[in-house]
Amino acid sequence: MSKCTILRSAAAIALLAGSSAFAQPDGYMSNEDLASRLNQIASNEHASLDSIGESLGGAPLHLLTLSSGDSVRPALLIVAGIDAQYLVSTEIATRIAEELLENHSEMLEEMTVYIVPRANPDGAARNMGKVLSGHMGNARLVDEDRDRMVDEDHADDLNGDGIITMMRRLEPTLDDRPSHLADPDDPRLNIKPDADQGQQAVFTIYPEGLDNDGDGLINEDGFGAVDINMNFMHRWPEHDPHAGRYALSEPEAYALARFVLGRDDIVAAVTIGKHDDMINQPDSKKKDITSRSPLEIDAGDADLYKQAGEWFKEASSFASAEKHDSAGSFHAWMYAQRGIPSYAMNAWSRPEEPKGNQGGEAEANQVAETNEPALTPSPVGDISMETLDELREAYTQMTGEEPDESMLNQITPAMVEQFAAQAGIEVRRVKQEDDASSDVSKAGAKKDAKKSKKLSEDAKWLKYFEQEGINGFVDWQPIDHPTLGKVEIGGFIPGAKINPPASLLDELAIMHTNFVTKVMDMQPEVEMLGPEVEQIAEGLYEVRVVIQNNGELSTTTSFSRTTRSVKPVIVRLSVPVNQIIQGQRVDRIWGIEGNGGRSSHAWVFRTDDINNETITIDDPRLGKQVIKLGAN
Amino acid sequence: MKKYTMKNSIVRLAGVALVMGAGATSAIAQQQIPSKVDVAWNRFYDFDETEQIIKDLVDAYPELLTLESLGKSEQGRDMWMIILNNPETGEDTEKPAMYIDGNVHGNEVQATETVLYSIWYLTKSYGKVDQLTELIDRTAFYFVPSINPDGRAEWFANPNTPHSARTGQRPTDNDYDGELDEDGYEDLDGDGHITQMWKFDPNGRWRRNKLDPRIIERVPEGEQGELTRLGSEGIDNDGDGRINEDGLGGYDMNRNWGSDWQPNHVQFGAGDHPFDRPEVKSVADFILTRPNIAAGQSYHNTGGMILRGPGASYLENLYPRSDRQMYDALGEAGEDLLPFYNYWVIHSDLYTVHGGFVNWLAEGLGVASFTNELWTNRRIMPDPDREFSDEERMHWQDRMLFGQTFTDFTEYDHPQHGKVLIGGGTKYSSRVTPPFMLEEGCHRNFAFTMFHASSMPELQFKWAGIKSIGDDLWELTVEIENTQIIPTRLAIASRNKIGMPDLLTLSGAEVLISGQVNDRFDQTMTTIKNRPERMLIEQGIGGNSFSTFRFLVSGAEGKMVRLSYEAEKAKDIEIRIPLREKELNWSDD
Repeated sequence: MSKCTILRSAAAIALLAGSSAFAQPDGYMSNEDLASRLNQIASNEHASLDSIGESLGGAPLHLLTLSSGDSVRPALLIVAGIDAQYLVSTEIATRIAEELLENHSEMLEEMTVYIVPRANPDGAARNMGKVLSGHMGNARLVDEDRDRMVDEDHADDLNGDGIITMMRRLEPTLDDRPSHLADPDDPRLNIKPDADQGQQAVFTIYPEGLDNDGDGLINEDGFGAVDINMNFMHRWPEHDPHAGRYALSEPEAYALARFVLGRDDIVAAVTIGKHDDMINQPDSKKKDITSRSPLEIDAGDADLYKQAGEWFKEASSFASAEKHDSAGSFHAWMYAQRGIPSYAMNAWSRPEEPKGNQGGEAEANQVAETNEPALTPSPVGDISMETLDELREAYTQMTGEEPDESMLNQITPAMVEQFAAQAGIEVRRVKQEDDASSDVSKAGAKKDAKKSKKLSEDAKWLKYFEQEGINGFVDWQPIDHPTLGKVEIGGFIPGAKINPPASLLDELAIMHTNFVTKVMDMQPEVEMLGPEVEQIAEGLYEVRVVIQNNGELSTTTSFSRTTRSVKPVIVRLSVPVNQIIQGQRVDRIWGIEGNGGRSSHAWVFRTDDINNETITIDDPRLGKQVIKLGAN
Repeated sequence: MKKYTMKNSIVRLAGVALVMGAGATSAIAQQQIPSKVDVAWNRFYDFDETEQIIKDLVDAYPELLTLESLGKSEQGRDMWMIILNNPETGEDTEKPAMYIDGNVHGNEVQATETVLYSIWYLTKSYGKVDQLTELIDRTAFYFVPSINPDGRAEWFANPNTPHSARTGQRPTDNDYDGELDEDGYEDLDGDGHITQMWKFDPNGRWRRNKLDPRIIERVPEGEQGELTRLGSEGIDNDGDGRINEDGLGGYDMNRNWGSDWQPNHVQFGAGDHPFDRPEVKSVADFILTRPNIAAGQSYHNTGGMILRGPGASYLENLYPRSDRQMYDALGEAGEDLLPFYNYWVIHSDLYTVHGGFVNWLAEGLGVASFTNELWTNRRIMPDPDREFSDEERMHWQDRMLFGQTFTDFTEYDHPQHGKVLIGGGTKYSSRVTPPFMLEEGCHRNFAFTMFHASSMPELQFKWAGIKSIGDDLWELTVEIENTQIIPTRLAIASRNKIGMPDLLTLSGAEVLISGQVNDRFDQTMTTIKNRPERMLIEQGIGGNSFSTFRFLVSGAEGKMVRLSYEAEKAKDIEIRIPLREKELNWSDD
């Protein structure tokens, strides 16, 4: 309780300070701050500042190019600030640029780095206004509740603290069934009742606000917005109000896509924001609805992502990251349709408590849970409820209809397996416990759980905020609500779990830079072996050339050989086609495996003068090379 | 509503009669109605000529037609769009509208004539043909005669096959050699068409038919052949050993639309992203400004089909049953009007299409849409119900078309292949309607499309009843009817939350509770407590049916209340009635 008071007084002090920028996380850059910092960076001889377009609100979409020299070379693209609320990603991307220029400038001779530090400036600005509401999209006006009135029911800062938090309706009417109660261990937190513990729900939960349009709903049609990260083509979630009217309908998404489509030099992409496929290895088994594109990644690229994941874990020491559906995201599109290795990561992850702090048993519990999430039994054999939920989702996606719940009683495990195979869903089963022992073991487990009750995610956050002195939570305070009656307003501050204190940014940026330099370091090293020119007879030659990749990674993703969206290396022989006896005059290399992988080319041809003949190797990422076949 | 329309057409009739200097206002036989613009419908028009016809029609009928360029094609041609609307009965945006286009595939040329014929026929019929006059007064039309002006221009201007110039004309690297459009067809024999090349080869598996050497046939097993197929006329322009592997364009603008768009490795020709072709983008931008579009038609050739979505099997259940029934009602009517055409579903009866235009209209925007594949050669054969042999077809071609669509084989010295035979069907030979049958094809398809257009939703108040249920307390029940086949909101739209729900509003008195009821006799209803004066109707009003709504209203007796029903895809309706025990009946019977 004493800590509560401290928090409350911290909030009060912040409120008293009365800065209009209260809601802006302290030490984070506004759009203006960002522009001037980028200008500063661009004063470096190896950096230049451009824009790839404009946001819906007319803000520039900055592009920082880091490069020394002007020959053709491969490029790495770093994109941040797509997800409006993830202000930290912009901070990190900007600092990566500074780090690279200051401490790794030699790498810029080998590789260009493009950085789009804030792909959604309008969204960022919304998270820095007078009232912090946790806005996720851009500035597009969307009639989210489809009542023919746009943005008419936004959040309202009822307690005037500049922050939109939650409301507990303490005396809900009979048509509003209570759903939560205050956690007996920490009454600041809302939990769902556990019937086994005799708990009963007490209140209902709403976002802080009024029913401005009198339709019975609160804050259901606030400002905007389309989520840029749902506006790209791979698994675009059509008809989701936040996905846009069509893929790339939003100028921010369009500008990013056109930028990528206009550059043949991009060989890898790093996207910092909401999504993660570095801590969470992306799925490499499932296919999307067409069954001709991977849901996340192709099996052939699983090792690549595993490898990159290790680099990232090593560089960042992050323990966990939340997994979000990547449908319509920028990074998913980069991989699945452009065929480019595309790594998505969070800028920050709350440090896990050091081991030993929680007691061995709790720790063991936790490890067990993270490794193997508990599965819930279902009425269908040993099939888990989780699998049924996935299937239900797949069914809805395929048919547009919600499955009839009564079907559950009629289906058999065999039917589930068949449908799962069709939908490309892995069947996860609940391990059958032996009947006799199950009750006992359950009871035992419950006792254990009681003894060393582990902290919920929210409780961990509160603990972390307290330890670090972070103002991340607004303590509940009563207020009379015009339609809900007695309510309490409070809860987590939007973005507090996303954007760390500014004091951590420099250190985080170094971690991320370590990952980025690793990615740059590990680029393929392509070498030409040969040519070997052998005269078979007068005027008849055999010529061999090998392009070898000495790097560890393949020159392209495995899936790009299917998409054919990465321009091939073109190998061209000067000899006219009617003099070629063996071999293609124009050959294309779609990719070369790492660790000494080879692309071999051999021709037999006639020529009057071998000294006039050449092989041209044209790599859009490395430039053009003309090899004379005659003796020097 | 109806009375208004009738009165209005009488006014228009009088006006037209004055202009024409004729006194007759009774129906006139079809072929007797002249247009102010003479157009022959037994020939095809290249892009420039279609531009002239469009401008002439717009100049001749300024009271009905408005011309707009939606943008420019890849090569800078105008994307012409014609609005047909009678402003005296309201703005086009207030009425249900039908969008009609054609020729997204540049070689599918008669699609454009079919669109132009529709404009020509409608304008000349206004004020003279009652059915069409009423249709024009009630609805609006948006016509885009060619969505692929560059492909059309290319097909007419240069030698082509029946299938080439399907693409738009943006230079594209189809063979991934870093060069654009560097190896296309050549008209080697100079006959104005790209026909087929055959190489003399004693081991070839083809030979010339002994009775009719124009026919090249497969050699039965064990017999000696003489020819090997080389493909379409052309040479190896870029010296890579391949012929015609990277001609003009090389993509498909009917795979570039916003719903179920898939990348090139799934759907050939899709483009880099939906709407990345200027032609497609300009049309899409326009359509997105017109939520009143309630019906769509995109003319293609060939094969004689009335096609509806979905384009992919995994979307089959995206079309709810009530929508399928609506499509069936329209499509089956089309099969009557279009002999030898089949009403089919794209993915199951034809092939898979991702990102197709009618799919975007139907699945993305909730518009009842078809694509008609114009012309089936069963229409010209003496017995359309049986298959004909090659010999019979050639014979019929000679008798009926005097062999016009065939160029005889001639020998040619090919730079890569030496002596070859060049000849075969011309670009007019298989997909294009024979000119003498063009007008009939235009008219039958027009007739079907007008049936489709006249099926767009039309609302009317059918019945209302007001009962006193207490002191200044009234129960007002109202039936709202859609007299046409197409619902105000397709089920696909209400399920996927496409577009806006319909809106029923009562103003002029306080509404305490409202709700939808099963019928006027129903005592209970699911009430709407919040904003009850403003009922959002997600399901809309079904085709050929009515829905019943009820309001509990507080107000003094005699107080006028206003009821309005707004739907994106129907003309809004409203009535004013006093709060007084009463029944009102507007239905015709």
